[in-house]
Amino acid sequence: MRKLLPRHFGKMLYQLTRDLPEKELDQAVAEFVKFMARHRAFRRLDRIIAAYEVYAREQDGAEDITLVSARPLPEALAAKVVSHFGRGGKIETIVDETLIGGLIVKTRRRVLDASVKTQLRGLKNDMLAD
Amino acid sequence: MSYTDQVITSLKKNVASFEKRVDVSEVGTVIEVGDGIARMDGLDKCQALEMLEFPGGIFGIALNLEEETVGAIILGDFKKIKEGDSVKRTGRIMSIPVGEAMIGRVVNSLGEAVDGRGKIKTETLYPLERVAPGVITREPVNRPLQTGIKAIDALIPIGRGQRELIIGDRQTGKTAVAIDAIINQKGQNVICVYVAVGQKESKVARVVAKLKEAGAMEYTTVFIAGASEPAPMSYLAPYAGVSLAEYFADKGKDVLIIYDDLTKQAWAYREMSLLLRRPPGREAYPGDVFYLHSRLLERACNLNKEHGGGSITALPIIETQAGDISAYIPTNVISITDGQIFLETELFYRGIRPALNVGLSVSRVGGSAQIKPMKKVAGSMKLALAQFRELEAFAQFSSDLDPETKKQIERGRRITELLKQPQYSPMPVASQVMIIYAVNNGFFDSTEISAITEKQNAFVEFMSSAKSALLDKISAGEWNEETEKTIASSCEEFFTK
Repeated sequence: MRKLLPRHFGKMLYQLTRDLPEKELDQAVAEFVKFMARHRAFRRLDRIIAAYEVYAREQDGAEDITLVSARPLPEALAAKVVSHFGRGGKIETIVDETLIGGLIVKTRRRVLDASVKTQLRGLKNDMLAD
Repeated sequence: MSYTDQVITSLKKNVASFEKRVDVSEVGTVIEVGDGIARMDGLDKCQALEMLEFPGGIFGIALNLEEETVGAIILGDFKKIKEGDSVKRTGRIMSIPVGEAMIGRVVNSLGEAVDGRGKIKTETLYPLERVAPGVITREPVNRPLQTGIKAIDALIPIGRGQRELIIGDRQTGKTAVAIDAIINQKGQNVICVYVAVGQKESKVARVVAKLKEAGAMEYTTVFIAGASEPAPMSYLAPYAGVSLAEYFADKGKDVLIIYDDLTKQAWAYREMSLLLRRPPGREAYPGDVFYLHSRLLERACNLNKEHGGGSITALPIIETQAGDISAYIPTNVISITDGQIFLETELFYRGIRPALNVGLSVSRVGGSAQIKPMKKVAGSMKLALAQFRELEAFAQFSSDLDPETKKQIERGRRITELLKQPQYSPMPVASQVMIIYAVNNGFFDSTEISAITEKQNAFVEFMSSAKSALLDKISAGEWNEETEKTIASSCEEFFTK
């Protein structure tokens, strides 16, 4: 039997409880907990909840984004960047001075690297190719 | 312009023409890793056999494209990769660097040098997986590839573009046959590739040392996926070797490639497939283990003039267990190749080396891969040997047999003794023709079996020193009445003195 990942559980829970009336919610969650027990998934509960939240946000058109920059980003600039990737997702900012300048935007499926470090590496490769 | 000025000009040019770009890469997340295999979430647009970049500069190849996950083999130390690591698509299908600079080097399955002589500078990449040349691009095998081993060149001849399997139990001289074939390519304008799959690294070191001693490394590249390396490297090594061979064949060169051995590649592929959870079939091999070898060996070919006229001759090696050539992998490869050279343990221990079982060995190309003189003399010897094999059981009763049968037995014994050959001593084809002519016409009949080798060596020396012009004619493929008369008179001159 294929191993079920936290992401699978999260997706199941979302699809089970989406648009469900409140009075049926307890019953649905109870069934889900029984399902988790059959698959011995309780020790992964934290990750299942996190995966559910990520999936729910994705379904709402939001993506969790990580912004990596050489210096702390002003909030307005960060918001402007994030707005291109949908609203409502979690935003994490990391400062990495080795980038020298520019920005790296990481979503779940893609990495957009516009850092100065990568530009310089590209320039180096072009020069070596000559 | 001085070198400094050139560098400055180049720098200025590159900086001026530099365009800012955003690197967009698709990424996935490692959800499971171990035993050289990783499973990733994401990577929706990943292609089959695409190279993936793991943290720390480790690469992998995507093999399993499933509904929600991608299974990949890791080409490096998988212990440095952990769950949650980000994996990037490179967009490149697995390929290796190829070029003239690879000749004389020892490299791994990724084309990286492992001989301690520095990085190899190449400009071209060839894909590891490539569709074999079609029917129209090929022509029939019609040029010999001389191995220098009398028994093979006379009885189981190999042509350029042929696939000839070398099969036998462990320690029967399979690698020795292959190495002798490489050494004999000196001066023949053939590039050699030796692929060591899952071998002991000490053994490969000895092979490389021997090739260097014989001057063969000047035209040979060695690919090594040692026994201590992960299974994916053993799986890829033969494909890496044939990719380099194709580079040279596409330029019109003749290439000899040896896969030593494909049994270990099949084991490595089985290991990988089981870890990737592919369904096991017979003997736990995956269902496409035949395709593993067929698509590799089909890339050996003899290209026609319109496509450069190059060729790739493949000598795959398969190790059997207890002489069982009807096992799964041996029968698979026998059905793919154009013949097999079967080496037997019993013959080896009886002192018949190379331990060829002439009855079970065959070359499906046959006489088309022999020069005319060899074709003329080898047929009689083959017949004499076949008759000897039939009568061998009666040899112990030799005193009770009729003279004709005794003569056939004695002739067969002498042929068997003449076909023995020490390792690393390939013999030119002209000398082989002379020896076979001599034995066919009874010149060795009066020589004691124990003195055959000495007599043969003396005869070869005599021919090399006194009849070199005749040997040149034979090497060039000349055979007519006059040549035959000259050969006969030379034999009489030597054997009657």
